[in-house]
Amino acid sequence: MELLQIRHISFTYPEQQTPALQDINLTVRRGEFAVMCGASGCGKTTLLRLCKPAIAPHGTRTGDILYNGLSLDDADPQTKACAIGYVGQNPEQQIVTDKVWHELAFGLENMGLPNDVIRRRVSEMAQFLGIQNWFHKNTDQLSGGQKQLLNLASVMVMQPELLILDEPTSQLDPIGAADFIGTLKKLNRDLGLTILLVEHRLEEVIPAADKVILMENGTVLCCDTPGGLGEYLYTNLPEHPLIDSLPSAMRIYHGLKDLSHADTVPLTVRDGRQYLENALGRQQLPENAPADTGKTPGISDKKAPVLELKNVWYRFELVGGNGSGKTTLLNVMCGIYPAYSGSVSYLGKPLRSYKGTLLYRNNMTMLPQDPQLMFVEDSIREDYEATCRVMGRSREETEQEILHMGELLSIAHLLDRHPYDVSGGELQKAALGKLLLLRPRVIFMDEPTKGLDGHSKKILAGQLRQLTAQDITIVMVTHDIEFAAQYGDLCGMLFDGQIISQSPPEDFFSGNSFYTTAANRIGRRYVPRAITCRQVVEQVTAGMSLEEPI
Amino acid sequence: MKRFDTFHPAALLLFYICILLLSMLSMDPVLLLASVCGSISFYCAAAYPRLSARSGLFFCVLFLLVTVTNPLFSHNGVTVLFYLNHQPVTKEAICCGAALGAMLLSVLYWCRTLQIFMTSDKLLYLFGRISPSLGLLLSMCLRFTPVFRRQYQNIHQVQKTLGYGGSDQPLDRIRCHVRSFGILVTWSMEHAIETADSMNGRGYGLGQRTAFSLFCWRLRDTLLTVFCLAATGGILACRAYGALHYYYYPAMTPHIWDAPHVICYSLVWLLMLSPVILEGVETLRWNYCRSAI
Repeated sequence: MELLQIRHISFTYPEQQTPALQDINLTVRRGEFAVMCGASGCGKTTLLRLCKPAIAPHGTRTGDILYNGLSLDDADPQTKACAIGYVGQNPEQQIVTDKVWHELAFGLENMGLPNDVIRRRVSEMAQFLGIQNWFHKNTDQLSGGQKQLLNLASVMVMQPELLILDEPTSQLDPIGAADFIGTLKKLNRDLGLTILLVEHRLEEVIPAADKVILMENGTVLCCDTPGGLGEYLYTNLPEHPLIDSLPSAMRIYHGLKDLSHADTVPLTVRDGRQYLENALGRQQLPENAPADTGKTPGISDKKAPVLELKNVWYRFELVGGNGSGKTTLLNVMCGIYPAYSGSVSYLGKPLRSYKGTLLYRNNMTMLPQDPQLMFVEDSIREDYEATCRVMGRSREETEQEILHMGELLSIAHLLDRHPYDVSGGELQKAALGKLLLLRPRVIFMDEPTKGLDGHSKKILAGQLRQLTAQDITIVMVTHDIEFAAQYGDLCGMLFDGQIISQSPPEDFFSGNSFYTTAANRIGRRYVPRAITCRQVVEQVTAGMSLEEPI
Repeated sequence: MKRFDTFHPAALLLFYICILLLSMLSMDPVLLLASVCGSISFYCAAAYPRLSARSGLFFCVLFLLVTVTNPLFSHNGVTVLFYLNHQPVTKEAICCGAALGAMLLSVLYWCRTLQIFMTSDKLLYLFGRISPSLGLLLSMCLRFTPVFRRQYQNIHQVQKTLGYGGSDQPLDRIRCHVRSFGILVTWSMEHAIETADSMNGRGYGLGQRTAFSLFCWRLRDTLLTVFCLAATGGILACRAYGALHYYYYPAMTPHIWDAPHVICYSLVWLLMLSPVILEGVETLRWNYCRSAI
């Protein structure tokens, strides 16, 4: 039965010429897990918000949205507030009150329910979602993942039938994100909750989805099962940016489809392994030299080390969970926190000998997890100018440099915008530009791929590659294994406050069996040294073509 | 877990109102002694693993300071002990100063325990009973203060790695702080929209709000309330019969041990020591239970 029907919806924001949505038709059935994806600015968020009247954007709308067969405009506000739940992007800002239990009760308080009803519903939901251990905590003591789970729970206590989520995992680290998506799957499976989710982390979401909706420029491009979407993209739009975000199993399958066809498209690692086994059987592929990986050549050449850490110990006050100490290590390396014992030296001299701001000009700098923190002026250009002033550049030099930066990072059109008005990927670029104005030799990055979709990651990687070619060292801490495998020159794993192993990515990931890329997990039986989808496809194809003549 | 933590906020509030009123009711030394003993021992029991000697020392100094200051300004009293700068220093003035100091000390220590037990959620609950929207407003303030503080720290730290504000010139530093603060305001405005969406999304403003709380009124809350009211009532009644009227000037009132006084003093000691007795019994019982496992 249809729960939500969107019929011929078009929407135009005030004072805009082009409509944000054009003649959208969609149906979400009861109990369905629907995932919506598309590039940023394609109208996903607008469409989602139209489905939740309390937060619908202002503008002119034509067409109708039916909920349970009745127009949403006619439904009474109490029902609308309860029946359709909405969870947004930012975990921090959606929390209203100071205590976890109060936050859970907030929506029910608004409904004017009596105390004992609220008490029962809150305890029920806290128990179901595993919140009881931090039920009495203050909301600011929670980790990002817990905060988002709390937001979900405080919507769920209102017993919605339809849950709408707008990129709920974009601000979470991959572990918190995987937990969150796991919870969504559980809600869908165990309670039969209907879910409409906008997401770009497709690796985990797609296997659970019943339906994937691809949007572009305010229209629905494709609405199909996950397998059908892959089929559609690879046959009609092989250059589409979304392909970079599809699950590894799907990408490997489509790379090898001409060699071996399967009835159902593999979505998970398990399916992917099975597919390869069916295709290759018991045969062993000959060991072949890995194809050109496109890494910076000569990294192993004997260059003088830029940064050395000797016996560094650091003590940190644990705030929230998730502390293997990566961010702390970065902060110690770039001198924000002093090392507890041991020494950090930069270009052969200890960090302590760099006085004042000397260390941060022409030497090293850091890209924080949240690039918004870097901007303090009213436009990106003003911020750049201020940085140039700090660096003591003349007016002409400043102008030239900003112009150059705009071209280098292709952000020239954004320079006069307010840093808070640009998208996450654009802000990341602008932040990188600001760092480059300081002419650093070492750039530290803290989770730079957080919140970026596959395509933006590719662009970021290209820019980082340009920088390393100019002899700039980049040290990055990340949970994003796929990114590290694809673009890193040297990978290390930090566990229990120590760097456990350190080697080039091919050696590093083919040596690990769990902490490795999905592509490697799929293909490791046949091509153990292939760690990206492309490598798996290339090596399997090469191996098969060698086999065939025999 | 402390025993007093488990009382209902309203019972707790009533208890503290009675205790604080009585502590400031009279300058009678017996009452003040009871209040000081009760408050300090209760504080020690309440804050047990985290007692600091430094704050204790501070309160001792405060007490001595008040005791010494009073005779310097007040020269009333009949018993002159000695002359300082041709001004008489009297026994009565010193005693009065000590009584003032004791009153201050006891009130401060009662407030310190109040701070331990009246946590923000209990206060909010009490305010929420008066007006739900005021309660929500306070709760939101409590929520956003730490958020802003942390965001400010983050902004400032990042600005440092960008080469601002780390220099030794104070003017530079101030400028950096001003800039960080400016962007904090923008940031909070920007994100307030999301908070508003989240509130609207959950039906805020649709009708009459209720105020939910985790607290329930139990038998022991009734007992505490009855005990408080009875003891306070008894003490006030005794006062009407002449107890607790104590004067330091010109000469200190002599103590009379008649019925109203004896009843009054025993009630005062009972009330003032009741929290520490409750707390102590609870700790002993807990330790006994644990050792019995």
